Amino acid sequence: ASFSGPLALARELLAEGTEPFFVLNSDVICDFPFTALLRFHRHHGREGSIVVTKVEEPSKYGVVVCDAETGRIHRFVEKPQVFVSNKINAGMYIFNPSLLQRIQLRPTSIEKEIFPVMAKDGQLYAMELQGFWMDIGQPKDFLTGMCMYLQSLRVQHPERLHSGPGFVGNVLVDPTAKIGMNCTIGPNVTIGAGVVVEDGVRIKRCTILKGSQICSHSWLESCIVGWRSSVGQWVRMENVTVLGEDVIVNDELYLNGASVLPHKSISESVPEPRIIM
Amino acid sequence: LALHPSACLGGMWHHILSSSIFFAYFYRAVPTAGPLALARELLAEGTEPFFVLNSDVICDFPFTALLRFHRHHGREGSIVVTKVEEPSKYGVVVCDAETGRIHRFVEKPQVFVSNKINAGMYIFNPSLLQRIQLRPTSIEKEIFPVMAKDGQLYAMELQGFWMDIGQPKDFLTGMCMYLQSLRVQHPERLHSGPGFVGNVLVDPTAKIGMNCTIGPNVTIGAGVVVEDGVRIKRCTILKGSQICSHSWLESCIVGWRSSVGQWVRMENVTVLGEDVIVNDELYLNGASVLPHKSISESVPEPRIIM
Repeated sequence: ASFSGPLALARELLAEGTEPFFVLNSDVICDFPFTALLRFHRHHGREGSIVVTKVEEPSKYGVVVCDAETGRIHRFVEKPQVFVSNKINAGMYIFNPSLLQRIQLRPTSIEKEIFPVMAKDGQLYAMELQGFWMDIGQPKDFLTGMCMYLQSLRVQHPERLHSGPGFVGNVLVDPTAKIGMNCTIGPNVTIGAGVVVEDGVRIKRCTILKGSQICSHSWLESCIVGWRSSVGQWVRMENVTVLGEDVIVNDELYLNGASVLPHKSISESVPEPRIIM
Repeated sequence: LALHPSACLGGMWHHILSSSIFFAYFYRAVPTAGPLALARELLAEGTEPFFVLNSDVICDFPFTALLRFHRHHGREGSIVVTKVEEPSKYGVVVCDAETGRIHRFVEKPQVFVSNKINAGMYIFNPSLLQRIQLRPTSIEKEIFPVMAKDGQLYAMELQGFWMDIGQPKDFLTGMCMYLQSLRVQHPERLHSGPGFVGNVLVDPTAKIGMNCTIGPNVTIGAGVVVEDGVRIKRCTILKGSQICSHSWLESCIVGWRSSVGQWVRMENVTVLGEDVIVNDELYLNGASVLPHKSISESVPEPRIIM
């Protein structure tokens, strides 16, 4: 569904209010600057504000050209071949309810159709993000973004990270998760609610989603384990192996870059990256 | 007399035979008759026949039956032969069905002449030594055909399993056959209990940790240490080695005094030479690692590490 669809459907709820509302693209991770963005938005008093972030290779993206002092957006340029700007749309917005009048009840891309018009009208401003940002739409980038997020936690809220014997580096563990004996967890691991990790497991640079189970002696690096999945004993998983929801991986297998769709059972090793459907 | 003595076999033979075993160490591969010629002094003094075994084979070495067979025909030499399904890949032995007298040898026959091949175990009278000169001689290529022509060479057919174990892949297959033979003939020598599956042979001085699952088809040598949570299938773990916790090994040969780290996965006929170190958490797939090496990176595709 294109971007403005949800907004249009939410029109009734949002339009009644007089307060501005946030819109977030969930394919990104950063220290979402709600307070700073609201303050910035109120300060210029126009219809919309978007967060932008600096990137090293702007030619891969759509870039935002804006006034250095005020942040007023002049225009958008898609994948520029010559340098015009190194700021890109970070995927976090705040709008006044009046924006909703610009949107029709048909598939609309807010970035492609609405923003250019608002910029022309001088109604769209850009606030530059401080701190980390990552597009986490691809599994590989999701894990990179996870590492950035954990490092940010280490700086701002170190008490939320897990420590103790068997934990290395930045590790986030839900209080309802259970970790067995003789495990080594981390660096860069997030473990969700109700997850069970049995004895002798090694996990590095992984996201283990809610309700999953990792059986004893297994070794996981750079993986995403989907909700309610089960990884057997003596399994080795690496190289951005991704398990969808409710996947079972049998004992003693080797998964190298396997992308497994939900509800599948894996009974053979996957020695080379591929999709299992 | 062992041509390529391996420490794991020598002790076994001495125990079985209760006879003298002299080891000849050769630093290069030499043709068969080399060791014999060098041992000439020791052997020629005797009047008793002597055995010669090619250590690249495994079977239920039929010492007693071969000696009896040899004495019965009273000629100069006897060799053990075994039936194979694809004789065209080998040198075959053509012999008399009743007496076993060998008529001739045929190399890789394209039409069927025989399905019996040389199983690599011989017995000779000391008089054979006079046929061998002190130069590189292949007993199979040069001496046997002459003995056959002279009617002095006989073949005894092997009963039971046989395997050429010169290649690592075949060594493991031969190991499985040997363990199955133990299961039938001496089941008390195999290891059993919680955590042991199928045919497993464990030296009494080896130590196995908690929560391991060992077998089927595993042999573990003297002084080996297997730490907690290890899974081993279809492997030979040679003397003095260590397998650290949570590792998983299938179809591997681990050389003497090697060390495999924690959370290592090794499979697909990975072979570690003597004194090899494999670091923690690596993946070895069909790696052939020469002695005294340290492995610090995974080997995802079969290759030789030197």
